[in-house]
Order: sequence, then C-alpha cells, then structure tokens
Amino acid sequence: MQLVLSLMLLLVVSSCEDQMETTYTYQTQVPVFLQVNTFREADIIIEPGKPLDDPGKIYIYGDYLFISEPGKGIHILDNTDPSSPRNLNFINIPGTGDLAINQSILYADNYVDLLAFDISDPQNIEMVNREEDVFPNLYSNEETGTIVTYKDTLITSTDPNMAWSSWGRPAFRSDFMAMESAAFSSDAGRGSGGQSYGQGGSMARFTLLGGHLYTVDDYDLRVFNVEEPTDPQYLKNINLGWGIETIFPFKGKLFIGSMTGMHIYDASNPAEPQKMAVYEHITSCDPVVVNDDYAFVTLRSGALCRLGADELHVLDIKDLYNPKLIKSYPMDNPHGLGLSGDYLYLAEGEHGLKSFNVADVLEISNNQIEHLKDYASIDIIPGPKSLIVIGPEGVCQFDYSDPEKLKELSCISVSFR
Amino acid sequence: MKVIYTIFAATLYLACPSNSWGQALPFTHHSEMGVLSGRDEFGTRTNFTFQTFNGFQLSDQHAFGFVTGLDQYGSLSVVPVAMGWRAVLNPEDTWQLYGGLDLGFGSTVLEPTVVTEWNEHRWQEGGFMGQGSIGLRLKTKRSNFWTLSLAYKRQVYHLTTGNPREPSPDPNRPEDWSYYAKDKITFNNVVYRLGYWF
Repeated sequence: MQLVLSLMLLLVVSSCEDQMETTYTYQTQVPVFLQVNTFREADIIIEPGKPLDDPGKIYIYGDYLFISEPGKGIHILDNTDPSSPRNLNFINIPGTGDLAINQSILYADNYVDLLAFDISDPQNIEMVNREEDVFPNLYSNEETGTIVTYKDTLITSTDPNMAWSSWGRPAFRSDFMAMESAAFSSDAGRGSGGQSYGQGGSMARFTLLGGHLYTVDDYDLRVFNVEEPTDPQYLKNINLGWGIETIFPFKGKLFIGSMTGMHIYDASNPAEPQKMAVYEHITSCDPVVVNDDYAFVTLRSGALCRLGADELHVLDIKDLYNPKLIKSYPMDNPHGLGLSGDYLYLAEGEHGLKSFNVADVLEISNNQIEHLKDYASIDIIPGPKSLIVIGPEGVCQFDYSDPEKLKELSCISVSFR
Repeated sequence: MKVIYTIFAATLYLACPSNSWGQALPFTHHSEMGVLSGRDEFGTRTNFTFQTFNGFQLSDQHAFGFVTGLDQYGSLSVVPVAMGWRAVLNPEDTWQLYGGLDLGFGSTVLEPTVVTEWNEHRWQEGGFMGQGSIGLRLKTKRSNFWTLSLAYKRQVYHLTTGNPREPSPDPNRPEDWSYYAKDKITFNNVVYRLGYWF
C-alpha cells in the first residue's frame, strides 16, 4: 500500500499540462556538393552483376539488356533467352541517369561529363572517352569545379513552421469549441513553410539518330556528333523551355515530350535540328510514341506533374508542322508506352499494364485487349524478342508474338524495397 | 506491447475457473464514472470518463483483472484496454482505503480514417495508458461498495496527417506522402470518480 501511495504521489507531482509534440517527416532533396576532380580521377569500376535496387531506364542492344540505376550505374544482362535473363555485370557510374548505345559504344552521363564505353565484349568493358563539361547545368560553380546534386533524404523535423495541414486537430474539449476552431484557422494561415518537395529525375535523357546523340534535360536539347563512335563531340545546345522529359526518334524526326506539350524537331540535318511544331497541352507529365500517321502522348497526374490529367492523347501528325489532337481517352495513371504495329502497350503505373489495338485511333478505348493489374509498370520497350516492362518492383518480359495475349517469360525483382 | 498481451492472455486464462488451480477465484467488478481534468494550451480541460474493472479476487485485499471503458476528450473517443490491480488496506472496516494501478493502452478504434476533399488523410492511433488511483470504499448492507476515488491518468495518442504522393500510399512510409505530420499528444489527467463495486 505504501508503494502505491508513493507511486501515486510521484505521478501526481509529475502531472502537468498536456504535452504535444509534432514531428514532420518529409522526403526532400538535400544538396550534395562535389568537386569534379573527385569523380574524374576515380576509376570507373566494372563490378560483377548485382541485384536491381531502383531500376530507372532500360535499353536493349543486341542480346543484351541495359538497366540504369539512377545515380549509381548500369546493369548489364545477357538476354539471349528472355525467359531467363542472366545478370552479367554492373558499371559503377556515379551520377548517371541515362544511356544510349551506338555500334558497341555505350554513352552514359557521369554528372557533367559524357562517358563512352566499348562494350563489344561485355565481359571486358572499357571506358574509351570522357567528354567533359557537356552537361553544365549541374555546376553550382564552374570556375571552382563544384557541382551540386540532390540526394533524396527523409528528414524529420519538429519545426512548427513545417505545418501546412488545412485541418486542425480534433477538439479535445467540449466546452469552448468556437475558440478552438478560431485558433485552428489561424494555425492554418501560418502554414506553408516554404519547403520544396522532391523534384525527381532531373537526369538527362538520351537517344541516337543519324550519327548523332541527342540528350534532353530539364531545359535543353543537346546535340553530339558520334559519327566516330568512340569520340563523341559536343556540338550545340537548343533551349526548349522547361520540364523537358522524354525524347523519341522516328524517321528523321525527334519527338520531345515536355510537361507542357510535345515538340517536333526535324533532324534531317542531324547537327542542326530544326523546330517544326509544338503541340501544347495542360501541364502534365507525358512520354510520346509515334507511327507514320499518329503520335500517342500520355498525360499523367502526379506530385511532380502539377495540374495533371490522366489521359491518352492521339494526335494526327501527317502534317508534322501542324499536329492536331484527334481524340483523348481517360486513363488511370499512364506513364510510358510502347507501340508495336497496331498494338499499343501502356504502363499505367500502380494500376498495371494495358494493351490496346490502335488500328482505329477513334475507337481505342473500345479496343482494350488486356489489363494486367499485377504488373506495376512505368515504361515499356517492345523488343525484338520480348516486350520488356519496367516497374518499381523490377523488370518483366513478356512473349508478345500473339499481341492479343501477353505471356510472362521472366521477372527480375528488385532486391528490396 | 508484447509483454502486455502476454499478461492479458495469462489473466484471461487464469480468470477462467476451469483453468485456475484449486478453487475458482471469486469474480469482482468495479464500474466508475467521472471527470478527467487536465490543462492544455487553452487552459483547464474537463472530459468525461467511464471505466469498468472486471477481474478476480486474489485475496481479501487484492484483485486483478481487465480494465476497459471510454474516455471522451472532446470529439476524440479513446477506449482504454488495460490490466488492473486493486488493493484494499482495511477490508474489515466500513470505510476502506484502497488503491489501484492500471497499465495498458488507449485505443482509437472508434476513430475512422478521414480523407478530406483536399485529399488530406488523417488517421489516429492510441498509445500507452497508465493510471494510478487512490480511493475510499463504503461498504453497504448487502456487502457491495460505493467508491470515491482520485487518480492520475496518462494517455498517449497519435494523430497523423498526410497528403499522398503515391496512388496507394503506405501509412508507415513517409516517402509515400508529400506531407506527413505526426502529432504525439500526451494527456495528463487528474481524475475524480464515483463508482460501484461488487
């Protein structure tokens, strides 16, 4: 009993005002400053194959599959048999985002530089060139050779300025609710502590056309002459506005998807791409694929895509100077897409993978063939042997010899999430 | 938490007469109603509380059992789920002095997850609940009791507010949310109760 009493006394003495502690956890990008010498002097190491962690982009070259791991490097897989791809090796390239391959020369970015690797023997990869300072927008100070990159970081803060909730807490008392709500609305007014939330994937995006390498980043289209594959030459830079996301080459034209629309460039003189048209749409995220007559553009909503709508737009591009919207179809959350003949494969993000017959572009929604909900997907490549689908959980390949019925051949899962 | 569950399970097992050794222990019940009194940033806070203790009498002086009930903090309902112990100092007298200790958690099972028209998600979780009490017990003619008690009660409660970044965000992965704020609120209460014990 005495024990109880003393315990009680202790508890009552420590009794005080209700305690409230609010923690704000957010993912943000923390700037990391780096001297260019540090990565230029470091050797690019070819490591034995390792499991996928955060697959970014896929590239097919011959029987090989290249999967980029943003910021870290490139996985090389032997895909001779798509039903059992073999992990060969991993090129450790810090600060990489994208890649392209031209006559057994692999181009990849390494922060501000462009690297060229000879991959004619995947067992014995060699770096053959480094073109310096071609992606200068990563520089925070070019004179001192300091670049800035941003690292996704989870931060927990107790700073009350972080609050931007539009609601207050529930009232924990029933007496003066009116005062309570007044206090909450002033709380809400104080909100928006000026935090910037993660701006993902500001990496360059690459494609090859007519002996030239084209890269897009947030604002620019850059042109490299790669007629001598081992010696890429930086030619010029074309400013495209903002929010540039994807580049798709087709019959001497470059189709560039941005957050605000689709740019068409004529690259018949590959060193001097000429602007043909810009198709503007509402601010959204959007990759593009095309065939002779039509362009298929997906618009996707998302945290980084501003307003966003989830739609598939079909444009008539018979007159490339004047692309016209024919029809738009509502979608779930479309990301990348792949076109193979009359069949369109569409990555619906968390909602899976869809296939459509697009022979009649006015009836696409009525010609949906399959919806594989179990395959969260971001991008699709209709390869020569298989349809390759990349998603947050890994890379899956399908037999699409019968386009009406996709058959899973293999899936490489990421090692952990 | 695991320890608490284990003790719950053991209590439940022992409380069942067929499982306990020897003679079945006598059942005892204590229900109370009262006010939770605390202070928050706005001043004094007064809330309603109800709780019921069901257990078995280990001896004349000691009882052990479950505690549950309802604490209504304004619009927030917390259901305590705890194990409790009661000890009586002088069970032979008419006016008896007793003490109690309850340990467990407060559950927000009655609070649904809310999604606002701005796609703001709010969900609530309970937390630790601890209570120590001291009181007087008045024996009635039918050997039941009226009680009057004073207690200190500590209740932890979490409110999370988030705006999703992903289509199907995981509540435990802050990466999935563009805004993720977690309030941990600890209610410190002095509790005054009236009750009935048999």
